[in-house]
Amino acid sequence: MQIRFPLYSAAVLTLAPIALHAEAVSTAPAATSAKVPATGATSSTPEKPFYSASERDSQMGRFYKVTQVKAPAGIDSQVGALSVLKDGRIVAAFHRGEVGILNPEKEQWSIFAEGLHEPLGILEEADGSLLVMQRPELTRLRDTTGSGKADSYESVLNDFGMTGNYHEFAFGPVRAPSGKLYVGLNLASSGDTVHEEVRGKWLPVGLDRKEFYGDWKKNSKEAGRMYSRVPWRGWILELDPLTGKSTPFASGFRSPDGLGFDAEGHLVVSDNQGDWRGSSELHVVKKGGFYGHPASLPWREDWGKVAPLDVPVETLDKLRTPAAVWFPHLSYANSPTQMVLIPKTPAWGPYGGQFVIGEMNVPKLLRVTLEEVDGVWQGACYPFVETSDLQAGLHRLVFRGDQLWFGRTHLTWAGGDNIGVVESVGPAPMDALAINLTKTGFKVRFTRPLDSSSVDPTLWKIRRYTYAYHKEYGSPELEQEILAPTAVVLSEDGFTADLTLSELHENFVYDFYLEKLRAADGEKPLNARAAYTLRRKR
Amino acid sequence: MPTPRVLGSIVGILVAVPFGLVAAPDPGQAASQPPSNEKVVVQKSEQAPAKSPSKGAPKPKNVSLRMAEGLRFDPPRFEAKPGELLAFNLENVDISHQPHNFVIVQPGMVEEVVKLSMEMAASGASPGALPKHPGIIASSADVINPESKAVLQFKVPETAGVYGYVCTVPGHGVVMYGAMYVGVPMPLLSKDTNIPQVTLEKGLAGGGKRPFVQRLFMPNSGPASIGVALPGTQNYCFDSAECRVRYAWSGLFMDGSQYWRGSGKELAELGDAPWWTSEAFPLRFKDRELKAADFKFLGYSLKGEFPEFHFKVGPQEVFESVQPSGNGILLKFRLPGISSNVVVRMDSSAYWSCPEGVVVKGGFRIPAAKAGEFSVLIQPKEAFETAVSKTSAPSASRPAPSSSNP
Repeated sequence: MQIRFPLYSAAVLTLAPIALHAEAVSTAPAATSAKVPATGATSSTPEKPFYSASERDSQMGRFYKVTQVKAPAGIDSQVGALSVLKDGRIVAAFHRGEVGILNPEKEQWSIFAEGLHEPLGILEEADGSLLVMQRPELTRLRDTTGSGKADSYESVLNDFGMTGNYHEFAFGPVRAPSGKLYVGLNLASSGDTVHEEVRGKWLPVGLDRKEFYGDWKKNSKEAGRMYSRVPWRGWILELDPLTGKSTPFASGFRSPDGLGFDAEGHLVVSDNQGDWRGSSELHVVKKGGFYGHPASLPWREDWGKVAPLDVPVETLDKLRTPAAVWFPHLSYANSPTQMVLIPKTPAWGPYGGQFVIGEMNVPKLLRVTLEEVDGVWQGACYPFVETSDLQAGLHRLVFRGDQLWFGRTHLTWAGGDNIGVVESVGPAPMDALAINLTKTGFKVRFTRPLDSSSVDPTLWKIRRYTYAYHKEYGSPELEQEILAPTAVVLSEDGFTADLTLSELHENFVYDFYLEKLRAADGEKPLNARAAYTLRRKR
Repeated sequence: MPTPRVLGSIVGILVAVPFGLVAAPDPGQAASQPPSNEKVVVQKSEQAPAKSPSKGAPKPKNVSLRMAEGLRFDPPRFEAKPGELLAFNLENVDISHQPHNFVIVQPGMVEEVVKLSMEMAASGASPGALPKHPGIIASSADVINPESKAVLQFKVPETAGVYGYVCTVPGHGVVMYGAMYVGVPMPLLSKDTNIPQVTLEKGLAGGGKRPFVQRLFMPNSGPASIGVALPGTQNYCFDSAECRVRYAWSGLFMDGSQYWRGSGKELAELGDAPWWTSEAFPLRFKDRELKAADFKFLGYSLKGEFPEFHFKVGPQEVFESVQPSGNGILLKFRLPGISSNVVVRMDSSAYWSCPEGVVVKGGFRIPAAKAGEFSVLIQPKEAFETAVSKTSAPSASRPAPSSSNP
């Protein structure tokens, strides 16, 4: 869970206004390892939103209600894990290691377990036991005596390494339709060195271990900004709960805070902006895949003795599967967290079946839609619910019926604490519902029929840009260009606009500005933004 | 290769909150003052402290203020004299690499300024943008990046009061603030409502409850350690990777506040130095030497709230629980299905005794018939020596006689 602001570049510090001019921009498709100008030509300073904060809150209030839930008294209320039990009670794990169970009707907490080490995920099993991911292991908690407290703390998965580095968080588990479980293991951060004792085999590739105990300020530069020196750091592991056997599943992750499954059973994983992450990302993860951060590569069976940082970027670029979705930094998300599927119920209307994902730094939830084009996953993210009552630190999400419960945390980053609930209280607001790629442009489906004036291409603005794949932290928006569709055709029911663009480029974000559009009923779009990551043309 | 383990000096619980920085007595110079405190001179500099002022100008008093991980100012409070000139040497030492700023506000205005900064962020302002609020007296010119320093000269207001200082990077100010006491006495730290609650929290794991199990990074052990507070006064550290008790100490359990409010790199602080530190896994089966890969941790059960650890050593399943016993601890082993002798290997930093065992060189041999369930008593050397010096002390190299069992 890398929850941090970017290291501010000089450009950001001087608050350079964002360049929105198309002239100076190349139209060549970006190599996925785009070259970065020596000094950031474009910064990712957030743009002025459609609404002021107070106007936004009052608009949001027409559609969503946020209520606050207090964590058990007397404990650090940062929420590492949140889930709902089969009987409808809420279970949460907190920063200092308590697992609490809430009866929401009675508003009563009971403490089920204590003393865990930074629990960051929780999942109920068929027999009512709870799987909790803590820093050192996946633990199965059971109440074998009926006392209401766990008395059995079974270690289910602990054969992965730990150096004691603070950034080695452990996330998950999530359960596939097959019953298999998946967990994500963070890389260590060069913000600190390793403990004298580590768990697991030390990888002899890269900075020599004795340098880890020397002048760290100096030596850390050689370690890589994020590093993986004990097994399976930067990996997703698969666990068969029946046999207890775990296998490394996919590599290339940096800080995979959010794991989930889509409705068809595809594993999706979020990751945060940082080194090798130009902006925050969402990946659709397949067995054996490499998802971009090279620190984890030496743990592959087919890897030799080469330090990943010595491998040319072009080679790494060919090895990797790029993110299905970029969350444009600052304007959409700083640090996206966990994603869950929105229920297909009347309350959530057209959004049912899409992902909602949390965000650490600002009080905002986003939606995500995915599609597969020629075997390549891509899709879009959309601001969804953004209102002050959410507060920051939206770390863990779970639906309890139509209620979207969320738990906040901060650790040493921006965020919040305690728990809240979002409910959909109105009709669906006017907004872009889903963007899909066509051969000639995009189909943008809305939640309400569009006004017939929407066929005017000048009402549509699309900003196109890309991010670099490199070892540096983050990336400016590169090669940006302002586009307008050459033609807009409305569907018969008015819900869908078919946009034709003069050309389409792979590996770009298409960032839609929709504030000039209106629904047929006169309603303005509530969020008025959506960003499609184009990886593969149709 | 693991580096050699060094048993560091383990101090007692020190929830040290520095709050010195008492104004140096310099009343003569405080009288003639440069510009009003609205005017702030900001110098970005790689070397603290501030440049020497020109001749005749009052010399500012240096105040070091660090922005640290865990969203906190260090110190969280200090005293200043009305009207005196300060040079804040601001340093961002946050190892979680976040930018911070430093904004001084009128008494009681921290919350309002933080609220404004959040609203600005929501309206799309850059995270480094300073809020414009009449309650702001002075601030760093912009964010101070990790590993950067800045110097801020500041004339302390003449009006007495508790002035706040805060980081207005969105999300930070909720916990990242402090208090400058100007002409107002500082209350006891534990009663100070002007500093973040987290500063006041004592971090004793379990809040003093016994027995209690807390997993945390612990000193002189592996990263997957488990601290246990036993009823009474004994505590121990169980290393789940090596499947053994690493050490035991008496007195207070451990303080995890540095970890819990910090970045997560910090070790727990033990309530006292261990009176026993184990050198290796104590059991041998058929005298076979053991490798790290032989150990597999399987978890623990709370039996009457005592954890009983469960692990495998090679094919052999082992259950181990630890109970307090006088001034020592009793390691109770269960070895289901064992059909051979077990050897218990002592180490030299404590006295060992084993009622089921036969004394052999370096330890005890448990005959196969008794190996299914046996216990080992470990007592502090010093206490044992005191106890037995009244009778006739046995040789230190030999196991304690089993008669010393409770």
